[in-house]
Amino acid sequence: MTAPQYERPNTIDGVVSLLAENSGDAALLAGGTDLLAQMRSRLVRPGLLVDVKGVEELRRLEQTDAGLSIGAAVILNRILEEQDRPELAALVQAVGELASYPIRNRATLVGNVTNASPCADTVPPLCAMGASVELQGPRGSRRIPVVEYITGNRETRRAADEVATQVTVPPLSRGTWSGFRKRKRVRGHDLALASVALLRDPERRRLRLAVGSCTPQPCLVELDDMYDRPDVDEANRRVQDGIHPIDDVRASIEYRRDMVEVMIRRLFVEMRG
Amino acid sequence: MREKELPIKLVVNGVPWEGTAPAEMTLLRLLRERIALTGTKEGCGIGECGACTVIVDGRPVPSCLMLAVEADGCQVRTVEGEVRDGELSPLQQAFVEHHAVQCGYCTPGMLMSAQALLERNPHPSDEEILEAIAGNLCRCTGYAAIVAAIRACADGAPPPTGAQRPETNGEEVSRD
Amino acid sequence: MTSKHSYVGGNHPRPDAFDKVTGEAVYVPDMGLPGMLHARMRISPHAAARILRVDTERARALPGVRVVLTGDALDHQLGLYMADKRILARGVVRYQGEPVVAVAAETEAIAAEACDLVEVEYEPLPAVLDPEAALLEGAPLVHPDLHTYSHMKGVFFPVPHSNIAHHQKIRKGDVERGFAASARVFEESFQNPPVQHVPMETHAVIARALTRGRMDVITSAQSPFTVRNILAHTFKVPHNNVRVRIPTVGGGFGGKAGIHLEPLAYVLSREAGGRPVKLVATREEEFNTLPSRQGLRTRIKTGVTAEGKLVAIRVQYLWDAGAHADYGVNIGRAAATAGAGPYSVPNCHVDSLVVYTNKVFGTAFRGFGHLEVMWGVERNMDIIAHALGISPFALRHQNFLRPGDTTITGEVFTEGHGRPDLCLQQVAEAVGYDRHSREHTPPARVPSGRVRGRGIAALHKAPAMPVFTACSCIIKFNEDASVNVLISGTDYGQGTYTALAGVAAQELSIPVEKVLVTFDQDTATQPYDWQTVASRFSFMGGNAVIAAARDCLDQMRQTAAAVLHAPPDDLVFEDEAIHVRQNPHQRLDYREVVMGYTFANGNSIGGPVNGRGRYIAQGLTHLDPATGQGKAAINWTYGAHAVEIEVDTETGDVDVLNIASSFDAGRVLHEGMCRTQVEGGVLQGIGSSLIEAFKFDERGRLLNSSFVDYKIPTALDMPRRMSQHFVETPQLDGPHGARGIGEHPMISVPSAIGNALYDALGIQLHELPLTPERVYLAIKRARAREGSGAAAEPPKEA
Repeated sequence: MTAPQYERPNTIDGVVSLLAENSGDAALLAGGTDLLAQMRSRLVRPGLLVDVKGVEELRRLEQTDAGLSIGAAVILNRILEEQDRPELAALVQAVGELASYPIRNRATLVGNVTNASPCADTVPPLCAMGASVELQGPRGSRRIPVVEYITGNRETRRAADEVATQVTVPPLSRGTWSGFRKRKRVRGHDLALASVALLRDPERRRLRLAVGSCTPQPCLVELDDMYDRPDVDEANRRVQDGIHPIDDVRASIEYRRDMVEVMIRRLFVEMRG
Repeated sequence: MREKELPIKLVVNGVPWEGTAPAEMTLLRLLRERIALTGTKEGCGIGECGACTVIVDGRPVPSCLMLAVEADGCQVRTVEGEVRDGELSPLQQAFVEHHAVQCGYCTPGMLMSAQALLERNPHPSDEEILEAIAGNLCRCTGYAAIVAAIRACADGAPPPTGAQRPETNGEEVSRD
Repeated sequence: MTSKHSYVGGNHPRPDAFDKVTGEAVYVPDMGLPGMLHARMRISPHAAARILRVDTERARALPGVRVVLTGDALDHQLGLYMADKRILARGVVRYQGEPVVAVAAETEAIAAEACDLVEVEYEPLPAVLDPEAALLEGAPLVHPDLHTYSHMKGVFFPVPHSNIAHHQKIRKGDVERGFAASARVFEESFQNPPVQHVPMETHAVIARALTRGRMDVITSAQSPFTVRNILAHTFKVPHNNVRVRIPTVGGGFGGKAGIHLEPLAYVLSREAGGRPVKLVATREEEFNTLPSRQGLRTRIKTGVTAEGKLVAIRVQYLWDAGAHADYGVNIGRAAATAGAGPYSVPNCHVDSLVVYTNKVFGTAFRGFGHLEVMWGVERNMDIIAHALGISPFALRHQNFLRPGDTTITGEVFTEGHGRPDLCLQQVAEAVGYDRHSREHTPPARVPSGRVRGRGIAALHKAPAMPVFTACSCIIKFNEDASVNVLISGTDYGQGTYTALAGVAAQELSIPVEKVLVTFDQDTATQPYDWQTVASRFSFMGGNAVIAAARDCLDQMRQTAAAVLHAPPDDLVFEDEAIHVRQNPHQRLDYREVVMGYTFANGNSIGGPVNGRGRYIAQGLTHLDPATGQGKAAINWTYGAHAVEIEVDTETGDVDVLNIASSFDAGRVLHEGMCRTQVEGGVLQGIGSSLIEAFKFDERGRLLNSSFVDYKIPTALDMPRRMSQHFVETPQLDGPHGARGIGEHPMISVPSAIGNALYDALGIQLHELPLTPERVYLAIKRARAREGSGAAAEPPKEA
């Protein structure tokens, strides 16, 4: 039995070289709320923990021309504390319903995305907003839309020697409306049985609907063609065609599908104002 | 053969501590096993129950999901630090007065979550109190007395919503 | 008697709260002993299997490992009422989660690693996963050698070569005649899943095996003397050899009432040459390995007159006991004696079968079967009321037991039993139920949107305990006239010590701050108490404390009479002093007497004052094995809940807007303790009502063994309003007239909510928990039936 090593580099290059030198055996540590739980049950046994919180630029949460950039070390509560723009409502709502307040003081948004659990709460709003993940590796950097970045249950396009450095939400038009709903088993902390994010961008005439916990990879449905006359029944039909929920200990297929429909309808009502 | 341990320096309840820990040791275990502060409890080990809540650099966190080494350089507050000059804090006192303590196992974590709330928001509404402690599970009290104790501690000003809360049996918890 | 030290019914602070808010309170996981080893377990992945091969070589070779233990080294079989449990699985495993291997090592991480290194080969066997299947001809037998097990004869009756651990029968009157004479007869069935106690502190023990067959066991448990007794019997040593200590306990709820990890920790220590061994269950083990609350299926047939008077009830309770009988057989027995509800039923047959299955076993759980039973009984009452067009309140009111009635076990109901009718009235008023039920009928068609409903349910429970249950207490005075109260009932949060401190202080007429009910238990130094279960501790402990206090006063009286030259009967005890009634200036402070009195010339008389008190259950009888008739209960606590809920028919979410709860406590010994017991019990009841259930896959493996998927109520799940009410019909043999209320707040909460859902939706629900998904699907199915023109499902009438 070997206990893991721990390193805390202060540059992204430092992170990347550690990943490259220890390919496959290194785990990135940001919030650690998923990683430590997995280590405790001995599901994963990394030889090296690479703590990214020592890299100053990864702690940045800032509005730039490219949009809202959320560094890998930015904790979820900072998003709630520092972002109040109405266009980001769906993301803020999703973050606010994620886990509990103390967990959000450790867990990061980038971690939520890159862990790629099908239940990840931030993924539907980020997909609806057209957000992307920036990866840095020995071969340089690349940017992948979140909706393409996640390829399956806990699977992403990140190579073992790449680090996800930030998630960027592109600028959303003034007047963009967005909303998020999540179904849980209790009013307190719970994973999503199903979740829905809806976004309407008036300048670009976009209507986007994303669903969580119902597919291994993100489910994003573009409804731009009905922007002028939103048809909630048609929207629901397209979504139901695109999701493959499962029966599991949390909920049945039937309940998940029906609740997706209920949440879509409620969001449409809310969107209409 | 002891695996190589990492050096750690932190301040706990205002007192500097210096020592070592294996990389995979959690802050919770460090506090309990190396710093002899057993007030903070382990209820589940996966951050779901809140019994391990401590305050790190001003923020309440689940210490079972934080490595000891991640707390290097940090200010950590645990329940043991809430007594000052032999006096219970107002919140501790309120917990006693309102019978917000039964078996006591959730109490340290609950106190730290609640204390952190009052420090960042001295006038929390009922909804804000419930949100702040929703990650702290209690099986004994049914939460009502805990909420009453926190409410009593919140600065005497009335809550923003102005909802009326009768102080008798049958206290209404206003929401939405 | 002065009113200066009047604490009964008051609200003094809980003495143990101080240590708990400062983090000073010490629980077993906080403790350590020199040389201590850490233990971990390896559990069975199969619900039923033969153990073919266990290879521990690689585990033993791991540095830091001291003991690797398997079941073939341990030939003990133990149990509270039925000796059907191995310390580690031997030959076969009987549930997924059963401990198969245990390791003690220098650190917990090494022990866990070693457990992973043990190779175990199994041959899976057919498993039986529900009681109905377990009763079928040819079903796999969980305990093929059941007939060889020792058990408590005359009380429990296992059926050899079957899966029936116990069959309790209650026979009163003639149900067939009753049904024939009834105007209407109803048949209903109801279902409860297994759930877990979820104490915030998991089971934890430190055991140290000493030489010459002695042992020192420090455990998070509710009943130190039961742990001692079973250890002594199992390892065949005198009771004196076994010392059991209990520090602060982080919740029990019945899950820690018996004996669980202690024997394993002891044998590990023995194998480790006497090094102490600490074993703390992980949360996953708490769910998967440590016991649960039995599941229950109820089939109830009820005959009533046209006006709603109960004529006959036949009920079958099928308990899903899991792999071991543990407390399950006693739950089957006790719940049967309460099995028709708090009502006068002239003809009643109860068959309560406790059935083995290959699942984690059930143990005592707050309510001891009564929450499960009352789910069926109180839903049934509402179903009948609606079918008859009578208000559910009126139906209960006319059927409640009243003085002169006999219960189903042949006990005569008296004025002193309690007032279920008043309890129901209080809660009905608190939520406006009467007015509501006059103005509102349940909808004929399922409504849409958010709908509200109100429901009521009654409850009753007596302490379920052996006929010889007893409690004892010693009150010892200290030099400064403060006292230590030594009593071995355990306070694991329920607050009994706080109430007893008030009782002692009032009896002795001293400030309650000078009463220390010593928190830690120690079988070597504290007097015997049976178990802290059954809501009997305030009652029996209170009586024992009063007796001990009076014994103290008697001892002081003797000395004081000599010193004051007065007849003993002329002496008054008031505010830490003794004075002569007619000459109050003739007085002695307690301080002068409690260690003996010394005259001016140096002569000393009297001596240290140590009061002794005890109380044994009065008047209980064995129950007739064929009919269940006898005196089963020392007292009954009656109560009721009324609830207002709001359902979101689109999602199935149930919001509890208001819940009022009332209990006939006899006497509220401590206002805050009683009120907070109710608040906590109601939330735990809401957990059983709306959220909690174990889920097993088709192979009997537990699917939700962590907080990720086993949810309990959070602060956000609290009802918006809760109120607690008490009736005080004195229990003539209770301390200050008190009865217990510890378990009762949980009972019938699900029934009230289920009844409120019918009121809101017109839909009858028969199975717990009433999760959003279950409620939603019930609404969806009902709407589909309406859409197809089918009538709403009527109650099943025979």
